[in-house]
Amino acid sequence: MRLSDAQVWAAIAGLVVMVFLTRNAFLVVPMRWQPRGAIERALRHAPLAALVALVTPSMAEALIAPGASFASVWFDARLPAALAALLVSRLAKSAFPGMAAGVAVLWLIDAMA
Amino acid sequence: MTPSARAALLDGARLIGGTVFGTFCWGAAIGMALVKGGLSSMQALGMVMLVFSGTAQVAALPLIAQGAALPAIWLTALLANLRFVVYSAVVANEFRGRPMAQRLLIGWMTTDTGLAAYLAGQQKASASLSERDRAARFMGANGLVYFGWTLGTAVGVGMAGLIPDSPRLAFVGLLAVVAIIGQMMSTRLAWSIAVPAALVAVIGRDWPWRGGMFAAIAVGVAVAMLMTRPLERIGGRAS
Repeated sequence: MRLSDAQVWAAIAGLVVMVFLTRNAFLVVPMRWQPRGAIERALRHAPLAALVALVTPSMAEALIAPGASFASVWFDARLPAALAALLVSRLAKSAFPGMAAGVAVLWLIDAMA
Repeated sequence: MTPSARAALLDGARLIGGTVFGTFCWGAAIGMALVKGGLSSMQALGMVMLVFSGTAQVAALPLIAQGAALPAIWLTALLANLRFVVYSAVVANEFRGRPMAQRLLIGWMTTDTGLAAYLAGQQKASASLSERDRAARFMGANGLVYFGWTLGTAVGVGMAGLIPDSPRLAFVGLLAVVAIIGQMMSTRLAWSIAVPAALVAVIGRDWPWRGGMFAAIAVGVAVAMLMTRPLERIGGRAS
């Protein structure tokens, strides 16, 4: 069953509320409930872990697929492109060259396949 | 806006820099997916500009397309976005002195890449900025993400059906994230967080409601706790 137009807008409005609640959860609670000290400092590393978790499943897909071989991982292109992006951005200490290198590897391998 | 706040705003945007192209591509892929999922152009644009959360939208879209009950759609988005509760604790501490309205705007603007780039920039910053300038810096980083994301989606919505959608388009967005990770990988601590987080994320890739991602964050934060504590005891700051 399809949602009516009004229902879709209601769904979107609810999503706005949900996103607002999660992103502002600790901004609206009293200060004394805020994590402090070592926990607060450790939480500053949460975005790095989250970004890693955001990208790795897609990068690893070809690697963990049944019957994966060097050729299948190479021609899938996602893992080589990601490694190029990681290496170049690490060496350049800057993100844009890394992304450009990743895209270049992606195109090159796609052109070969 | 004071000159120093304006400088901080631009400086924040520079933290994201050219990787906004990846955000743009990712947005374009999402925009096409929203229209293919049955949303009108207005609905797709409204969703992107107001919800401004890729993960919530990606989680909600299949449910909207199949006509699921509204509370189920909302709950799914809430669970898929639980990591933002963790972020909000960091953001609340960072900007505790700002007026409430501004704190709420800052909280709503928080993105994964914007916050990560901001925090990495804070570690490297030689001079410490005032809280107002830090807020401007944060908004500069996340504002550029918002711009790239919204523009990308608008283009995606407009082009849906005109060009074939390619999984490669969304993947350019992921490459931008990989590059942002890469520029953060300059310490042993960063590697110690990233490697176990990556393993957990791959193991938990099919867990419902982004459970794998949440577990990866928990592992990363636990590693950060373990590795920074001993240093603290001898008087050093590890973060």
